Amino acid sequence: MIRIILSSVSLLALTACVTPTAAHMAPDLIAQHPPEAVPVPPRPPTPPPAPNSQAFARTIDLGSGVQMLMGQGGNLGLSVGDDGVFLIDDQYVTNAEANLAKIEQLAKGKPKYLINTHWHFDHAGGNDVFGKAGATIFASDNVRKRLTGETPSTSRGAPAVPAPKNALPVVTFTTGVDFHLNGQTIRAIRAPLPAHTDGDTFIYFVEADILHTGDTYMKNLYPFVDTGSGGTQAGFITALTKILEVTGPKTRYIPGHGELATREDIEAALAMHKGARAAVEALVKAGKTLEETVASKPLAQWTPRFGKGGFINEDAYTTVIYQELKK
Amino acid sequence: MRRLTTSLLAAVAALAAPVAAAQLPSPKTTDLGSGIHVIFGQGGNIGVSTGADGAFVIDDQYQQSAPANLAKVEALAGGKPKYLVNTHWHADHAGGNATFAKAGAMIFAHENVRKRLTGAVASLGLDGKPSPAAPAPAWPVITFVDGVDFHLNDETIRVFHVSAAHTDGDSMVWFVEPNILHMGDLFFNGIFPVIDLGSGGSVRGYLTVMKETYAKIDDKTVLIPGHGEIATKADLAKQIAMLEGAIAAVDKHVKRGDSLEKTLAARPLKPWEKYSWTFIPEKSFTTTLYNGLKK
Repeated sequence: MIRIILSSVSLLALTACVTPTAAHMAPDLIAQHPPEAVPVPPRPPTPPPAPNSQAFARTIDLGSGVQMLMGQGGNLGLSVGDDGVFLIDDQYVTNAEANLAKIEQLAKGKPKYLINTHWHFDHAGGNDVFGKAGATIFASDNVRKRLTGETPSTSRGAPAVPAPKNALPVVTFTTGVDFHLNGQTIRAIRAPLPAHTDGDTFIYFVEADILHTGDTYMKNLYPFVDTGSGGTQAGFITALTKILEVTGPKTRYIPGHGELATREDIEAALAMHKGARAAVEALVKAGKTLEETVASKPLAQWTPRFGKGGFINEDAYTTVIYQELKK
Repeated sequence: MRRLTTSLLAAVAALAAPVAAAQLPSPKTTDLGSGIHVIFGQGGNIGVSTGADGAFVIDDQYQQSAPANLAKVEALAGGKPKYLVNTHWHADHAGGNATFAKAGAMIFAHENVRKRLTGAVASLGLDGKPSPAAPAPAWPVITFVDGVDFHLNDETIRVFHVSAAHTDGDSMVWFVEPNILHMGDLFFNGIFPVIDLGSGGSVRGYLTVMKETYAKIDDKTVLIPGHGEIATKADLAKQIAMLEGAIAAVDKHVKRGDSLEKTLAARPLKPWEKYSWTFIPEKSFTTTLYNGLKK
């Protein structure tokens, strides 16, 4: 027992990693990263286009009334059935009206329940529009605090606060809530530690066996640790560990960004986070400077899978881990 | 013995319903300010928050009295209830769920409330048999383990679960800024409480939660009890003193190995006999304490 506890503690301590990615991540978030403390902010080679007014382009039917909607910004999750329309995230303010119209058409009704996986404006930017249309917005307590400005974000490019009243979550939680809707148990689970931000939630459709990871996972990308919003690399390890705990071998995962994923994808990301943290920690312990650490390319073995897209390259991720370990 | 106790407890819920159906005077209400009202009627006290963001309701009494209570909520709030929280599953608090849900209310409760209303977990009622499941529209749609906060009508409304006490699914609701706390059935003001051992309640747990609550509130906190009149911290202190004394008095017999019959005959709760009421007379409460402490 003690051994198990100790090993899981050291696991937390030794191996934190994050996997951000985002072909369609908000350009402002990209520009803002990393926060002031980080010395060398890597620039994305090709910045993604600015958000426009287009609705999500792709609808992927996952069965059991659950759909994955892909377009600009974060992936949306949708549950449709007799009890009402349940939506995960709402992308940008710029395409909220178009998304709302398209969802109403798909679902034959307005969203009644809306849950934010976190506060970023490529996921929660449409809150005002959806709130006005009658959706009750749910989120972790820290999402509301970020949107009201009660906990100011130091990330450059963070949206103006307070957000309009209708954009604020009306129901907040600390550890999570369950929805019993459309023949599903829909379990919102708060990430155990701050990961992508300090307010991350993932959402599990238990019977359909589909989990929306929020931005605690972006398919095959190094993570975006939004330290200005309280994010930590260690939190990605605990988040993915928790996700693997609550899900099973056949679970399908809707990433915050990127294509539908499998358990192998999540396991690979978790292994990458742990391995990256251990590799950087060895250099920190050897007394290497940040420059020396970055130059020695400690993440080289993971870059073929995780460093080929998005805006966080291996140097950026190395830097985030280094700085967190030096704290 | 245990069967006798559970049947007495279940009688609270089961027997009161027909009474409610027979006489339906318009429920009495009290305005606590800040848009918050209490509806007194049959069954548990109903809390209502009114304002620009919609009506928020705590409990809904019996199925039979639900239409009258719904009308009262609508009159107070100028609209239909949007959110409803059940403090626990009993029919004198959650019996109106289906009526309120049909009127559009989104129902929230601790996960054990749903488990007992769906019948997934048996609640021992009359004759020790499980209570029948409630119809599906009465089931809470959103459940929680530790609690949720509502940000409504310029208030923070904090719903929090407490450990096993009246049942195993009790929640209290705190209107943070106006400092008003609906205690659910963790407070029967001036009368013996129901401690539903057949629904996971606990005698010692009940006392613990009351004391924890006492430590959390201040002299200005307005307490809405599950049953009885609006109260203060001082009123809660009296109730705690009664329960603590009553537990000690009965526990003496339990520790000594006395039978229930012998314990009842000794009338250990005589000093608190004025707390007896229709559903929980002294004998019934003595029996509950005896069975709860003997566990």
